[in-house]
Amino acid sequence: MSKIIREKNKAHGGITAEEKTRMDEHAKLWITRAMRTAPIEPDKIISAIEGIYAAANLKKPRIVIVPSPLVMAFAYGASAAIWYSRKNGKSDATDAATRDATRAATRDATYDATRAATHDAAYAAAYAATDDATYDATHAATYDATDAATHAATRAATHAATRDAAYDATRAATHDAAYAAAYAATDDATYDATHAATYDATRAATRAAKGNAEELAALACRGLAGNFGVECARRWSNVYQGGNMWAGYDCYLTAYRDILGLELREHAAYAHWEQAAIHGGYRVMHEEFCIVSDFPEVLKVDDQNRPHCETGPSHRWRDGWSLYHWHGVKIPAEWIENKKSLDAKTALTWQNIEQRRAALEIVGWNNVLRELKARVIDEHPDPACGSLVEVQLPDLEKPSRFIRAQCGTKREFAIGVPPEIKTVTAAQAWLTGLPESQFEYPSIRT
Amino acid sequence: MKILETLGAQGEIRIFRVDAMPKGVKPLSRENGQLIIGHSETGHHHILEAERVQVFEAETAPEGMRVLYALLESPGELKHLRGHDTHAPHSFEPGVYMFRTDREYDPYAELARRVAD
Repeated sequence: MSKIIREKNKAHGGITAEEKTRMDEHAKLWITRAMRTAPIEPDKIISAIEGIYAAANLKKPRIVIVPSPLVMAFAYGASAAIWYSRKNGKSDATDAATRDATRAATRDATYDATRAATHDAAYAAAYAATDDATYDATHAATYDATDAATHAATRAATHAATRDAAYDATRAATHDAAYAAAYAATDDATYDATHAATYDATRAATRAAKGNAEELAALACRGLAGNFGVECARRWSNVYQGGNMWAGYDCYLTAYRDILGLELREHAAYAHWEQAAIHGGYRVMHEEFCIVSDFPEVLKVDDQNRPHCETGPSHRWRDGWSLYHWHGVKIPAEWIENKKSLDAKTALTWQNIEQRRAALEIVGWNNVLRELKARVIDEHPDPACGSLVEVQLPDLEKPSRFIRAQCGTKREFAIGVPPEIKTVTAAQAWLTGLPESQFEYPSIRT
Repeated sequence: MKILETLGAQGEIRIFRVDAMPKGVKPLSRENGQLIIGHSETGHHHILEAERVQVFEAETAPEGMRVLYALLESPGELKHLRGHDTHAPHSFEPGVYMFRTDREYDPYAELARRVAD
């Protein structure tokens, strides 16, 4: 290791064993912050967000705390649409709900013709409303003034060896722990909700809502700001900042300050960003307003920190929005809430292979094999090559065949093969689309 | 085109070293700057990264399959974009490689389809 240098504006030479120990504790602190389930404290988050806007020389925004990222996304869509329309002299966004209500009566007849035109117009306007009006002015500006500025200054003050060691000890550790459990699941679910559900909401204008949270939120958004609002909601991720879900990077930046002793002028502005990472969840940044989400009240993980719960939701926010996961794989709620709804046939033939694997684990392989009268046709000694199993699926005259094998991550999958396949090797060759004569088992599986 | 070596598998992607780029291929475009070898419904794509690389898709493939070829002029790596249960990366020297995404059989539809995750 080269010479350790610790000055207020310089940290070179790698990190010491004592610093590594402190960074491990620092990472644990930020993991705890990423996994927070205690309610948001309005005074602390409002102060932090006002500080971020001030650091970017932006006017004080109206700050609204909402119970979940789902509400955040749709409230943002409606609000952005209304603000854009006001500023651009278009009153039709706020009138859209009225117009759409009257249009709904005749929409069935003209649905196909009107939808494309409505979508195109709304999309173009939403793009302008969410990107032009907010991204450059607010999201990028606040990020540049706080987090990015501190990152740049920290890089300038440190040497690669120190950065690499500190990175591994802080950001990588925190990110690995928090990413799968909290960030990715929330991000994916909110994204799904504002894409699939908004499509459903638009399409289902003349239908009764199905009653799920995503669709009801989309319909509420549509009622407030029409299709324009729904299109803006789809673009929430262009203007969001992660709050405590981005804990990995904040763990990394604050380790330089709190453990290696850097004192940079950029830290003053960054302090607001840091406070918002401690005291708030996802937020969307608009020049007129900021909508910030509360933390989930339930966040359950398995021993590898993947979202997981066998008896209820892995995530639940205080408005009831819930997500269900099986060892990191998002699954339908009814597989957990009503286990009888998941039978062996559904599990074995579910189209998404990751969800299928989860379903087979929930039902239990032994139950599946027993219920479907399974018999082993051929078996390879290597579990990665697997066994060829024949089952009798409901509603089919002939038996069906599946390869049951482990992938490189040691998880067990079931993959259908044609019924005329007779051996494991023939099945594996068919999966690969090669003649059996050209097929070889891969030497390295990951 | 001959298969020279069956190198390995990254999840549902099987990897082969081949002797030449076959005929009947078309260039594969990047998506958001990435060369996606295996698509995932949930964004957990398998992507190929290299400084100098061209990827082509076979115009014909067995039912339900997608077969890609990569011409690597510099070392490359196949990565899996997932934060958990990640399939470890595979590294390659310059050369020509074939990537075959596994298919599966749907007994109800009685047809082959690409394995979806």
